[in-house]
Amino acid sequence: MPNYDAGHYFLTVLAPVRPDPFLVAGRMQSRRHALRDALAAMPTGERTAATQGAAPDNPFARSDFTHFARFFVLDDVVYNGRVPQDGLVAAILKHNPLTPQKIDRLSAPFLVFTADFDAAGGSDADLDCCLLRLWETMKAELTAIFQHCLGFAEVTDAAGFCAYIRKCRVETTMPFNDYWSATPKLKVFDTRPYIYAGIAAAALFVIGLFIWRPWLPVLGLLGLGGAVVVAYRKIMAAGARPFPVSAPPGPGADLPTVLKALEVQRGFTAFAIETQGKDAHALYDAFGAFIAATRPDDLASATQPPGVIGV
Amino acid sequence: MNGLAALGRALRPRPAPDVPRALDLADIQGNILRPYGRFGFPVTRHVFFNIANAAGGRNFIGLISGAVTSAERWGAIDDATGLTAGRPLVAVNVAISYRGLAALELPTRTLAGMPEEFIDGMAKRASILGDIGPSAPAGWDPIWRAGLTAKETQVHVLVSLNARILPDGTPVPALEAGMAMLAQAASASPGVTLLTGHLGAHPDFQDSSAIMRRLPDGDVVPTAREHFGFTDGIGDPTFVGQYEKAAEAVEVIGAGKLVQGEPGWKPLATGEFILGHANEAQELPPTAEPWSFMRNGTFMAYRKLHQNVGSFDAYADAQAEWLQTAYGLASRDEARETLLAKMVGRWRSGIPIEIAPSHAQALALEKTWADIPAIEMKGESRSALETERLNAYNRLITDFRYNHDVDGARCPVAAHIRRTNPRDALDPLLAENGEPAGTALSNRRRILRRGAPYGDSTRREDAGEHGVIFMALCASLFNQFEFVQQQWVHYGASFNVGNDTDPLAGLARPGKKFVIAGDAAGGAAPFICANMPQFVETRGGEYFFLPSLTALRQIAEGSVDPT
Repeated sequence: MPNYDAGHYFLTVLAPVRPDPFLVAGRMQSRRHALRDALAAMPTGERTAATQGAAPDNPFARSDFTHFARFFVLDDVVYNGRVPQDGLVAAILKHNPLTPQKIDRLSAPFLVFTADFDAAGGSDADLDCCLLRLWETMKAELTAIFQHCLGFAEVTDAAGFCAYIRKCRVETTMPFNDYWSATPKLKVFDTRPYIYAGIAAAALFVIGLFIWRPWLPVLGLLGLGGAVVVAYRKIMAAGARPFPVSAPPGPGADLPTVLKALEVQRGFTAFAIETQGKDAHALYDAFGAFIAATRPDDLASATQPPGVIGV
Repeated sequence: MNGLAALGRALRPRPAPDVPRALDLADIQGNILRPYGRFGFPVTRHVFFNIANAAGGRNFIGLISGAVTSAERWGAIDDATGLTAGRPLVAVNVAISYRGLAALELPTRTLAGMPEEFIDGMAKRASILGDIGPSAPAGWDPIWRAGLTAKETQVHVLVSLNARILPDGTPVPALEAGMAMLAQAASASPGVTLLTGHLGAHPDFQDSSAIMRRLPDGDVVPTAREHFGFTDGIGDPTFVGQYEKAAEAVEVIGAGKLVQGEPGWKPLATGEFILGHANEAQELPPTAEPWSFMRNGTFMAYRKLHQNVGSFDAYADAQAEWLQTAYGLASRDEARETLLAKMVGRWRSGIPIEIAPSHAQALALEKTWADIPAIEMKGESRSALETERLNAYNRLITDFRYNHDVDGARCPVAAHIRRTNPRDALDPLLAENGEPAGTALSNRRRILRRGAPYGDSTRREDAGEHGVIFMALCASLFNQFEFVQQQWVHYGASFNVGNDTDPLAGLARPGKKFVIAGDAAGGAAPFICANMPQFVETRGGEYFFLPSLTALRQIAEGSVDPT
């Protein structure tokens, strides 16, 4: 489940930043500097009502399957200082508090790219479909950014880009699907069989000790371990199963549907305002005209383009 | 094992008994505990000063701090004089802006420890507060604009003089004596100047006053109405230590907090409103060093809010016509009053729409309690019986919650009082039948509101000087005042109302609307108020620190020492 859930592919990419400096206009520049420069130059599209109509095109808005995309540079992990130790314990173990501890560091700065795409499934082929469309629509921007990452120099075509992204991909352990306005009905995990099995195993262990049959405690311990392992695997397997694309209360959350829904919602608000207080006949006619103009089932036209705020 | 546990219990120190400790009222400024308007001081003058010389500024603070009114309890009424023991004729309070504290040359560590919003000042927080468009600082009164660019006109000190009135409605002569005292203190303090540039009749000070009413006998008495006609100042919070026990039991109703699953209202933690005391998160509010300087002080947002009464009346009239048709109401007046009540959450009399959902019910209640305005106007000469009746009325208009109105069929979810004080409305348990919801999600977002109307709105037009001097007092301007203003007044997410801003106080972008929910049970359709104009505009303001009396002394002595 983690990378794929309910029709969405949640991509997390960590691409190491190149260690060598970048030569720009005869001047050497830090790669992190150059990379941040490239990111800052990327148009963000409309983000608030204040930028409505004035924001330049966001390259992700050239296609209609990206819900969310974010790039940032992860310079390093934050150093939290020494691992604290109780003074008494340190004295007994003869730990010298003046001995430097290891300082955790990342091997390089990383470019982090996270995105939420509409995808047919969670396989690599499904991901490649998304990446190919990105490469088709925003190759220039992707190259301008990823050229500062280690190993990207060898990428020359779409297949190479897909392979590169898959290589740098890490598992998205906590996807965030923000179209679920209601809690889906989830199957409650029945813990009772595992608790009973655990109690039985513990009982075997104790009885075995009392009546001193050495194989009994061993069997008890094995049983206990087995119950824990089975329960753990069951829970992880349940977690790995993606939510279906449109299970009740399935949101119908692919981007074209979401954009259409926003357009219809806005149109319906205007319709409701215009028609309040009208008699039934006038309302009926107005609603017919509204449906004809809005075409709620038609995702392709009379819809909100991606990358803009409708307000 | 049991023996060990018992031994552990025996060895563990017993928790100390909960010793009630009264607030040091003589150290706390009086306006923190008392909304002066409700305590018989209906006229206020706000006077602002600039400090160009730290020594002069310290001298000025020293000279006026002796006149500052603390929060001490007042005594009983003297039958012979009719006066309350300890109650002054004019209550004086002092507040200092961040730039004022810097001008007084407080230590860098103290200044640097101040909250960032206080350091920023109100004008810099414009985008957070919704002070854009017609409310933008560029359009504020000259006194507020001038300080944005020139140091010598920055607003540093605010002195508020709250005066009682004579039977003819004019302020007591002691108010002029107070003004003279301020002028004298300023002239005796090098570099301290009184700032001018208030629009209206008095450029030297901001005048504000309750809207007065003339009684048949010729006496003039203050009312609790504001320029749109609503009764103001009802839903103020109550905190631990604000009142004596007996009074607290009355005042806490509808004004404190509700705890999930427990009956009754409880006072909020003192630390939500006064620094140096534990707050609702069971923490001490973060403050600058030294603590002795911040303790018993608080922060205050001062705002001059202009009211577009002409637009308001015209919009209400136009929408009432629509609403009357849509709801099939008997009269235009009923439609208009219903519309206004839905916008605010209270009928103009102050009766909550949760208690009286229909106009007829509101009228009936107003009739039952027709004697209340007269009792309110009596002030301290109320009899015990009248006080009891007033308390019963106050209980009626404050003791309600939203647990029986989840969808806002009675009080719309975006109505002004439900947004700015959501009570239990944000509790996730609210919609669960039978579960008593609590106010945990609003306990840390409460503000003490102080202030009064200014100007005259008898000519019902937008232009002119009329509005309200609004003051919000709280331990954290960021967590409380700014949160309410940004998240609840201007954003709709908390109430699932999209981009709709507060119908009364919110910014009006083109197409602003407000939805009056229909009643699913009664079959009434929702009504949408569309294309709302801007009703309220900011005309000035600043963030201030309200120091304790101790802190005022430290400033005057130059002894603020964070080391």
